[in-house]
Amino acid sequence: MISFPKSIEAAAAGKGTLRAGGTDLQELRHLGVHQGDLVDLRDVAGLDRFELDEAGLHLGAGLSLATVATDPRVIDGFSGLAQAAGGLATPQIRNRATLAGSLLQEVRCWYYRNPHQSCAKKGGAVCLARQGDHLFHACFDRGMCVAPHPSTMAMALLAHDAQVELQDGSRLDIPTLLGDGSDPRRTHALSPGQVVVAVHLPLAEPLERAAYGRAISRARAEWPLVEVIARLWLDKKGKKLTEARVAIGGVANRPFALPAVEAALVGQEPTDEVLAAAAALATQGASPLPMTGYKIKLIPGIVHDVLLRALGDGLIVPPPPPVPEATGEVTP
Amino acid sequence: MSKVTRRGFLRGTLVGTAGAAAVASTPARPARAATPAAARDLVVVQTTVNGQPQALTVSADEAVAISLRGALKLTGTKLSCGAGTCGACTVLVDGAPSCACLLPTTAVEGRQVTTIEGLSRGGPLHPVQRAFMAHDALQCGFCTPGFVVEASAFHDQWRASQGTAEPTRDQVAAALAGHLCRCGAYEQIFAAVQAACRGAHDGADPVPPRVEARDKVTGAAVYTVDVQLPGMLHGRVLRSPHAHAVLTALDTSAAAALEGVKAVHRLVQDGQVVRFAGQEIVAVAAVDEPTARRAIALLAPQWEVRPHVLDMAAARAEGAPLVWEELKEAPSAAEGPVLKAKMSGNVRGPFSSAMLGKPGGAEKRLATARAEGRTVSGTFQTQVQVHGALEPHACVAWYKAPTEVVRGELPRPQVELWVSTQAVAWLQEEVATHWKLRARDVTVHSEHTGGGFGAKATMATETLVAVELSRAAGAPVRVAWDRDEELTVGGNRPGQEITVEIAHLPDGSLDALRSEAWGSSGVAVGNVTGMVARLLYKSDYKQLDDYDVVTHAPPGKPFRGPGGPPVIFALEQVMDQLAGKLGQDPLSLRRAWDGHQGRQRLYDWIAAVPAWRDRASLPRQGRFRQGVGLALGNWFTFVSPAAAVTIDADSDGILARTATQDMGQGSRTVVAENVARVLGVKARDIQVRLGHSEDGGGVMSGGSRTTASIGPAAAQAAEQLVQELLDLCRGELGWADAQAVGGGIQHGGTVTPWLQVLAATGPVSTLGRRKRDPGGYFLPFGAAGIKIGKDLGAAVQLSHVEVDTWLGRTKVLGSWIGIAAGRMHAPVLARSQVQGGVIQGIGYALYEERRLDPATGQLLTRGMDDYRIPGIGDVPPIEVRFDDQPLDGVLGGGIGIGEVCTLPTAASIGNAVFDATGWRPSSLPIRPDRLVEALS
Repeated sequence: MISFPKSIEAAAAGKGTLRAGGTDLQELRHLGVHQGDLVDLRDVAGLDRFELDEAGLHLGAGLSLATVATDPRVIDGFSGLAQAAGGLATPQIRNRATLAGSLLQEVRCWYYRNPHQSCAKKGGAVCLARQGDHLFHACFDRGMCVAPHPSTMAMALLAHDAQVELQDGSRLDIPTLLGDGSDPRRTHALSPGQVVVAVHLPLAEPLERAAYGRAISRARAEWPLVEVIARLWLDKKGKKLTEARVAIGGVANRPFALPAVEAALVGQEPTDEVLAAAAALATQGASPLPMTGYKIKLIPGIVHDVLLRALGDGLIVPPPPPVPEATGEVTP
Repeated sequence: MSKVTRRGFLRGTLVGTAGAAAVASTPARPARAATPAAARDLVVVQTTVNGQPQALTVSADEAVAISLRGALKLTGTKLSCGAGTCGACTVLVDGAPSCACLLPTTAVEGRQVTTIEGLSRGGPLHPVQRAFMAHDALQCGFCTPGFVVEASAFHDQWRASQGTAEPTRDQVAAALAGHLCRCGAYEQIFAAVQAACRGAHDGADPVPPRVEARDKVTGAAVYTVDVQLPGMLHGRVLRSPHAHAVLTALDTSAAAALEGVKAVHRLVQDGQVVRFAGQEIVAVAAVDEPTARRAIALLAPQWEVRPHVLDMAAARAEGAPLVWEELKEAPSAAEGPVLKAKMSGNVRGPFSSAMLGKPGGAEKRLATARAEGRTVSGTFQTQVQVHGALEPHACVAWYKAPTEVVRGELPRPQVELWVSTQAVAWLQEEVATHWKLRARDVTVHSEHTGGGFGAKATMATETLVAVELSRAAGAPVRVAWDRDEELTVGGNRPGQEITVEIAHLPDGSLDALRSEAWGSSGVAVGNVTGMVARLLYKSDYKQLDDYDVVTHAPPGKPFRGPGGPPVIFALEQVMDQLAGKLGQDPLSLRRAWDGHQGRQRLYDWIAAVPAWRDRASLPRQGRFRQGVGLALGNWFTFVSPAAAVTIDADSDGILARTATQDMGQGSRTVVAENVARVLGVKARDIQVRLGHSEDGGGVMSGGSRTTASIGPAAAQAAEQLVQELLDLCRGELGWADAQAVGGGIQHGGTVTPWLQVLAATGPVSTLGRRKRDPGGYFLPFGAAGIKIGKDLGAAVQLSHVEVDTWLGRTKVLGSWIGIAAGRMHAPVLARSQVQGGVIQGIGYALYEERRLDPATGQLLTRGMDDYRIPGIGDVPPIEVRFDDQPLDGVLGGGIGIGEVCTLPTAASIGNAVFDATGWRPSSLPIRPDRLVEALS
């Protein structure tokens, strides 16, 4: 069965899985991994709100990721979010995929997406990736399922202290929305009848410097091995980092903040050394699987890279030491 | 020389091994209990498609791509990956590019949908369409509609905001990041989009270098998956989930009883063994695809699972489960016959490729050299690469039962097939043999083939299944693999472990060469790398051994330059090691050892490339490190003596036809160019019909034989046409002074154009055959329908890379490839094909890797987001230089290039990564994890 409710209340009362852009759900249904009734949000009004006021940025659940990536209000005040939305998937997917759908999508695990495999997320006894091929999986082992959480937007919104609003007006922060990952069957914590209607971001400090980046093998359009967002603030003179928000994805069954990295930045002079030392702390608590030890080596690099790009021309470069004369020899 | 054995029918496909001889096809009976597909849960959608209002009745899950292609018959929108990764299905929804494969049709209620067919709507072409034609921004054309639709939206937006400024390469790459082109026409796509944006194609339609380009940029080109016949059924198969098991029981009655199911055909019987996960077990045909899927879901096979082996080490271990009790049962992974070799357990070999040298001597010399410190060696692993053509394997079969007695003959069935194949003529023979028909009772069509790369050379399971289902159902049946099926059974380049050892003489010249390759084509055998290693450096002392290790994995198939890229990856990296040992630069060493005259003319060009010339000053410290790397490759000259081209000429036009097919390599254009050259007209003045078996004279598109075979045959047909017309003019028309000149016949001081001549003479048909090459052949006899010429095609490639040591990413900054293969029959298309070969090599070097689940043998890389082929943003500028000195020994003066251009890329990237980092990649692909592990 499929229904097309006209109101959010009717949608919440509907029987079946909610469908918005369908960019993830339709693939799962075609593969035979997902079945059952659908409640299509096509005719529900009000999911496309877009407001910026003194309380912050208010984004309707049904806004496309392309809108989030390209609207000047996001680019100007929330540039890390815009970069994250523009750095995921492909232009066609971003045109259809919705903000809430991107938060609630399913994992990319090649066992989960194989209809012939019964993994823990599908009610099986064990995580097949854990004992099988987990080259692209977690290096922070935080629950039975080791598929990295797929949502770039969840990671980016986490770093923005965003809250999602449900149909009854209640609000959840991102960690609550996603749950703690202890139940391998759950990729988010919403119950049937709960519908995300909007996402609220507190107003950003002016002069925020932000960047998003992912480690991938190709240039574009690839699920991240590791992804990072950083938001940095400098004091008025640009001599000191006054605040930092850094979050990481692709490494565990939930994206998470990196408080140790943030702490190592705040109060420091924005130099490359400081950034590198902070980035090195991003692997604290890592617990790689047999095939994901490499991610521990990637993490400092991508965190460092994103911090550098966030800081941009705010980086203080100490005067270079005298350079020995070039010999022209090739160093192997 | 080993004796050539003729392998049995279907050796390349595995279906022959599962007892296909004992099949049982049963027409299905309608049942009362089952629910028909059409009655459930339908939604009416009102939408506008290409300006026309449409009412569509669809299921909740029906995708826009299905509605367009099915109900609306707008087949320009292609369905390829089914997961929003490849972009072939891109359409505009209210102007925004969207993947029609993931977009529910219900979502376009009240919206404006624009497809490739709607971009011009019978009016003038869109500037992007003109630009794609003018710049030849396509090969097989299957991805082209998606690219064009997306690029048109980008263009319109760009022009509205930027006027005629030219977008950068990076801006174009960002806009087209959601598209994949397996042929690798990206260089021309960049050029086309940039040119359209700067307003260069606002005016008239161009004359494209590729004769069928207009059909491909407008969505008019019909591929096998687009064929729709009245009453056509849809076939699906059940595949084994186990790598090794006995099918103990399978009851097909519930599936057969489902309403809408018209036929069931079993490929594996109860009690038979399956040998890889994904092997076809049973097929059903139903009135539509959803019904066929439901029928498959009703099947509940019972298995006795047996232990399996997936990797070569396990397969070679003592006591390993045997894949084949008799290894000679193993199917062939090669196009032609498999050469004889010893077999034991799961290992076949060695097969020695050094049959004309002195193999025993090589071992002795290597031993001496080793003792004297005159050797270098290395061991390299290469992964399994899949072909991944964007058009999957597909067949529409129509088995027409005999109806009447014709001229006293026994009634015979007629079989008409539409197949995505690179061998229309060969397939006609194969099908006739298998079903015990006369070849003339079998017709095969492949008007356009959406990529092949070697995977579509022999009859494969989709064809077998489609014909059997059609025979059982008495109706046409379409079978097309989904992407996960294509990536499982569509074919693959075997993984290898190769050791190469080179001994040099004290003076730095080549002493002896050894290679030992262990390759696994899954359940198949016939993998040979030594033949390619043998071609490169001249020495009487070569020991080149190949072993096949069979495993419970899907069978390999020939893939552009079979055996070549892996062994060149090993050999050419060891050559760089040797250059290092000798203190020589890698270019000088190769130049000194290289006996290929054509390639000798290309070294100066490579040496002058700034990245090479100034390589000492490339950054090799810090985060981003650059390096350059060289590699060579040689390939055979193959020709098909059976090639023939027919010309039918009358006052309406000149039509050249042959049962060869075009999968993007440009054979239509090659025929047109050769006929046009003889007649002194333009290629656009010649109509070409390819892809129909009844036209005869067809050549398989494979092994780089096609151009050198059909080009001269086409020229010969044109020469005969000229001669016949001259004879007619001088005879019947009484033009005693008639002379053939460019464009027509000269007579009485004026030139009468060919069509006017034909109006006077009446229609003329000629048959051009491929004559013997003046240079003779490597062997006096041919094998598998080919002769081997004495020349070699040669490639030299330079890659310039940058390694991001933080993120483990290797980016190719530039690529230069020189090809010495004589005169190019269609130079613009040849350049594109070479670039495509390089791009597939970049994928092989850096991204692509088929992975199987160790526990079950099932494919893990089931989609194009897990099996990663290069996108447009991964492609550097690729400069191509042809040494265009014609080869005197070959008719037409030139040979094929489809294989040779694929050989050196991975090796040159490996050498460049070593140059940049000091770490030599021994395994492919050069993944980020391998780089960061190695450099930390």
